[in-house]
Amino acid sequence: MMMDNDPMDNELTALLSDYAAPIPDDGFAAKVKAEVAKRARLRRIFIAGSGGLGAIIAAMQLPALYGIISGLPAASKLPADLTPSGESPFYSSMLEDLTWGNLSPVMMGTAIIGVIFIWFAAEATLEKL
Amino acid sequence: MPAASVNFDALLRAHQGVIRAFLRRLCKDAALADDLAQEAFLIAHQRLADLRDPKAAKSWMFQIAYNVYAGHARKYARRRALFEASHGADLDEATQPPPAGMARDIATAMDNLTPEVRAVILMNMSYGMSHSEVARASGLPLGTVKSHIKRGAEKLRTFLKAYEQA
Repeated sequence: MMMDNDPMDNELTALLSDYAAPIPDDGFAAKVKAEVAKRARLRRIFIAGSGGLGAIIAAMQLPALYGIISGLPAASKLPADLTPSGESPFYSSMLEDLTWGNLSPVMMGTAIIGVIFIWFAAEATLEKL
Repeated sequence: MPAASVNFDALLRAHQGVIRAFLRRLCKDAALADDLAQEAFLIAHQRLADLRDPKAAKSWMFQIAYNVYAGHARKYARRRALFEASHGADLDEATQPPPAGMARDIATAMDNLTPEVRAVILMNMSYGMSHSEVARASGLPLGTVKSHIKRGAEKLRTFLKAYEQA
């Protein structure tokens, strides 16, 4: 602290302490806490909504993506030097392994990445609110 | 949710009074000051994980509050300039109930200081923050803070002498 010895400075400090005396709570803290809770609720709704929307958009793309993957040339039709084991239908078997019902792991991965991206975008947006 | 070593409720309870008083003295409008204080505490809640040292909570809160006030002042200055350009008149100044006696005069003397100097004087002389804490909270260089405090205190001392002589 400064100026402890000068009586005038002490008086000035005392006056300034009164001038900027702390204000009683009067419900301010409760109001802030209510606002914090409200924003947390909004954040949860926004994130869940964004995640749901992302999942729906990703799911809507599944048939088209599945069609693209199914249309890829089978290994047997590729030139022999591009196939790892001659007659072995390597790529075909790989695609079959990757496919699980109507959902392939590739598409699932794409959907998950989409949801994560939307999640982070929502978080970043909420941080700015 | 921030996982911090400092509890938000405790931070709010401990500092709401001084932060609101500080902002009231800076913007001279109780309702606006409370809105700005609320905004400052909401930012503090979001960034609570950044506060590693609980001992630094006071200057950290002042830093957030001063930044919120400075942001508001910038927006207000732009709005005011636009309003005056189109209407040719001042926006109404919000006022607080006038204090009495010497308190009124010290308030007048403080109001004559620029907001930046007033903020620095308040942090140092009213709330007991060190020069380096004030520099951190206000974002001003240490030398500027010292100079603001010296000149501001000099003006207030001059006022006090004049008051005592009167």
